[in-house]
Amino acid sequence: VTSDDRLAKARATLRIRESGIRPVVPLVSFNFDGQEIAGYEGETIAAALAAAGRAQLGRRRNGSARGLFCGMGVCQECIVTVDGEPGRRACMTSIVHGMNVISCGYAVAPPPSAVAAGPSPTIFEEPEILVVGGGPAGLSAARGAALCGTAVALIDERAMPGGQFFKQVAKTHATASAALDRQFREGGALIAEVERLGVRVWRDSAVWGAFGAAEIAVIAEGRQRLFKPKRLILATGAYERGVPMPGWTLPGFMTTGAAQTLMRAYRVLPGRRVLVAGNGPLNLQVAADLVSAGVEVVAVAEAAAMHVRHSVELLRAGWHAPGLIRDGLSYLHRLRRAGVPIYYRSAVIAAYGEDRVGAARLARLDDKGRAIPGSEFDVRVDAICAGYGFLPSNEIARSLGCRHDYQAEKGLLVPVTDENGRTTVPDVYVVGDAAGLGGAYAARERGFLAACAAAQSLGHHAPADVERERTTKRRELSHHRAFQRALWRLFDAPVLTTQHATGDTVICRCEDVRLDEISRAAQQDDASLAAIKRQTRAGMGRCQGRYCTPILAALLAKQDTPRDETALLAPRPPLKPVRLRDLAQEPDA
Amino acid sequence: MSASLDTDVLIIGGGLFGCATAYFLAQFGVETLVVDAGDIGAEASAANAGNLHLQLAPSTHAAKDPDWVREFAEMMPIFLGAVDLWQDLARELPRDIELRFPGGIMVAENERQMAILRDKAALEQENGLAVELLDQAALLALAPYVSEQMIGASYCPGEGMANALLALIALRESAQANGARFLSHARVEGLEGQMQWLAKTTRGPIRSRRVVIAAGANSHAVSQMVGVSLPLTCRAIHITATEPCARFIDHLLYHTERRLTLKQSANGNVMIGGGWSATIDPVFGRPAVLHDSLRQSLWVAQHVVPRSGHLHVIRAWAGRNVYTPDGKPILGAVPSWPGLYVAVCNTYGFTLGPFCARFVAEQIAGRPPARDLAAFSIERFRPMAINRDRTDRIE
Repeated sequence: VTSDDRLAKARATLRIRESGIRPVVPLVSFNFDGQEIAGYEGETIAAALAAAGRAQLGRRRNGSARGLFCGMGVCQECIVTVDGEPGRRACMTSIVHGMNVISCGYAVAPPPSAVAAGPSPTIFEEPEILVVGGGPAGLSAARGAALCGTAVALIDERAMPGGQFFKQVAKTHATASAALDRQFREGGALIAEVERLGVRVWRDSAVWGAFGAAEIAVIAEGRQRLFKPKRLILATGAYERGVPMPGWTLPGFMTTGAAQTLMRAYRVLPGRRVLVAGNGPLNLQVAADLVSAGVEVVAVAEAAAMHVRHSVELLRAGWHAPGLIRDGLSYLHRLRRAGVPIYYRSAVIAAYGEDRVGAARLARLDDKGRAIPGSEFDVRVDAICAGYGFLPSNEIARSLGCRHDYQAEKGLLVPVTDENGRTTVPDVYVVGDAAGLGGAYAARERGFLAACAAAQSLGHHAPADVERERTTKRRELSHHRAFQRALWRLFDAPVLTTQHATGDTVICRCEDVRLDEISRAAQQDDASLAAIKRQTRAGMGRCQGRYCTPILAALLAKQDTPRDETALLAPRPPLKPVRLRDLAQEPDA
Repeated sequence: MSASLDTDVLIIGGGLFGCATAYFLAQFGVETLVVDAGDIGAEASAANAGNLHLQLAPSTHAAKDPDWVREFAEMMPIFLGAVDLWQDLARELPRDIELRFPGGIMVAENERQMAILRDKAALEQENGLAVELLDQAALLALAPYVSEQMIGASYCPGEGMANALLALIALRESAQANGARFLSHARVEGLEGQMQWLAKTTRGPIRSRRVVIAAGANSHAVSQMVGVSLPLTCRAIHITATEPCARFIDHLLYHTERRLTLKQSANGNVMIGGGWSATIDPVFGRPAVLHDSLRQSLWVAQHVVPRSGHLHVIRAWAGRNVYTPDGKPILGAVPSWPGLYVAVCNTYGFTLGPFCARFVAEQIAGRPPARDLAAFSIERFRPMAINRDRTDRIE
């Protein structure tokens, strides 16, 4: 078999074939556990491996296989060793020709090659306004701040801004605008405008510490920088909840968002026979896109009842956001035309397979979210997309001491803000889904309004057209909020936490802590989140408790659960795992 | 929890000192209740790295008078006894506390530091510690992961480590199994009495015959409620953990002049400390990590163990360390305060905790001490620590 044959085989894989969006970079090859894999230079390791049908990225010390889960750099599940460097996220690391990738990044010791500790002095950056996060809220905030004449910097963790909602097709592909949907086009236009306005956009840059509103520590474009803005706008978005169930750590079981990123950004399919399950409109969109891309969607399971009596909500939603309702109806239409069954008040309750998902069990839910006995049935699949809603990414705001309210029934910590997004900490604003979930369009308006308020507080005056836009945005925001409220009522469903977990189900995916271990620790009459963490290691892993602590909090939820910031574990620096040598700084003599 | 919280011995503070004192008291059959303002075992006892230290620490002793260091070094038999006790506990306790004795290595990177190590080793040997000096070849043969910039080291085979979190849970569980009670989120807001004590807590009043103040950084505040002033100072410091990885570091590492303690835990995380300053969060009042301290501490780690630079840092946290004027613990009965006992320590709390606690428990139970630690009585700080008016009144 020649190398060319292998590349040819790689082309006939899980890549989406389409006319309007086509690859423009050459196929290169890299080594994965001794096997040659083809991919487009610049796409992520995770995308290239998914395209090659390789779902398994690693194995735990206990032998369990793991793959791509969140697809957005949060869960740390996909870590691999790249050219000797352990702990690299396959979903965030681009491939380079000849690269050597080894699965199981956490089980190896660091390479013996010595790296001298350099002096690495801190570089200070002093924009007037710093926006963290390049999604709809952050881009719109940066745009607003720039239009008001402030010096604004935007930090985004990804190679390209857009966040999750306005995520663009990767640079590996050229796009004909006719092939792009409204979401792509609106996002692309906003990104282009932000760049045109001269906003300093820091790509591949992550905030790892918030030591004060004017002491924001960032690994920005490979160097350690300390941002000292006069105003800080946090637009850090949200991440998908994890719902533990047997088999949810199997490769091929991923969040709906991860599947969407594979498809939209990298034009790669998560599998050939896919189950989409969860709660909310994102699942319908992704299922419809999967169908359009030629995937067999075996079913969609929606936890909400979506009863016909909710049609009044649908009408109300349609009044406030006709475009979004049209989109939603078109998803349903595409699914119906393809003959995809949609099961309401149902959920995936288990996944089966050896080293990859092979089957899923579905069940109808009672009003507590438990499976109704006798309603279970199995389907054969090679991938499961599970999207059970979002949790705000709030660790920067929490580090800074912004006051939060804990909504115990949904397990959400939401910052207390005024109508402009201003928090209880002076000079700090939170906007978008990080400030409480409201959807991309509300996020966009909130970002703009916060930026204008922040600019004004710095003595800048909004030009007349910006003032007019503010008025429009305020009105639109109230429409978006009304739409969102209607949508929530439409998709109202029991919050799933441990209803489908069994004693041996892993709750803390990083440290492999099982439900029975956690339940034992939770039995102490003075059990707390922190005490369970100390006893079981749940929450001590690389994802820093983002997936398991909401589950633990739900387990512990009682009448006396604190209704504030202290309901969850305190965030600690670094807010994301950071390579030690990137942080190291020579001490003063 | 039963309706009555009244008890023979009330221990204020559910950290290592409190839990270990309860562990021994429960073994001796003494009725004990431990209260803590927050979770049991949450503050410094959970924040510390679980190192078992024997070597002197020239990097922190540099500012001290040579006589101070000489006197401190005379504690060596106490440290050795404390480490032996941990071995016994590891056998007795109902869970694995991940106790290991790979030995400790203090590295030097220049001749001046080697000279410091020579003096240190001489003083340690004089006081009974087995320690040897290594040249660079011997150092790199023993610890090949250490940077070649290090030219030598002192090596103490008796040093080790355990999992501080599991050790605390094991002591608590074992004490509970023997009848001790624990009450969390019961902050002591008032303490009064003699012969019979009354503690007013946020979860109700507690009457007891004896009281042990084992509240770590808060011990001073508690002791002041009864007119005793413990001469303690506090400083917040931080520790950092990397992602777990396969074992490549065996020993407990230190640096002669730079702030560093470094080891790899049983789970595979590299734990980096050394007493770098932290702060107190202005909003929440809890210990919090400082930007410069964090970055500089990591530089020292990479400087000594270059391979650690490849690893990802996943967590840094801070806790409050307690210091006494002479670096020695303050233990046992408070003279003139019948029924009042103290159990606090100058840093090294993890190493010394159970050993000190055993003495306090023996004193309370009226048992002959396995090792007499009466020299560590608060008496040595009189009159500084003990309010004369109160003393006169009682006498």
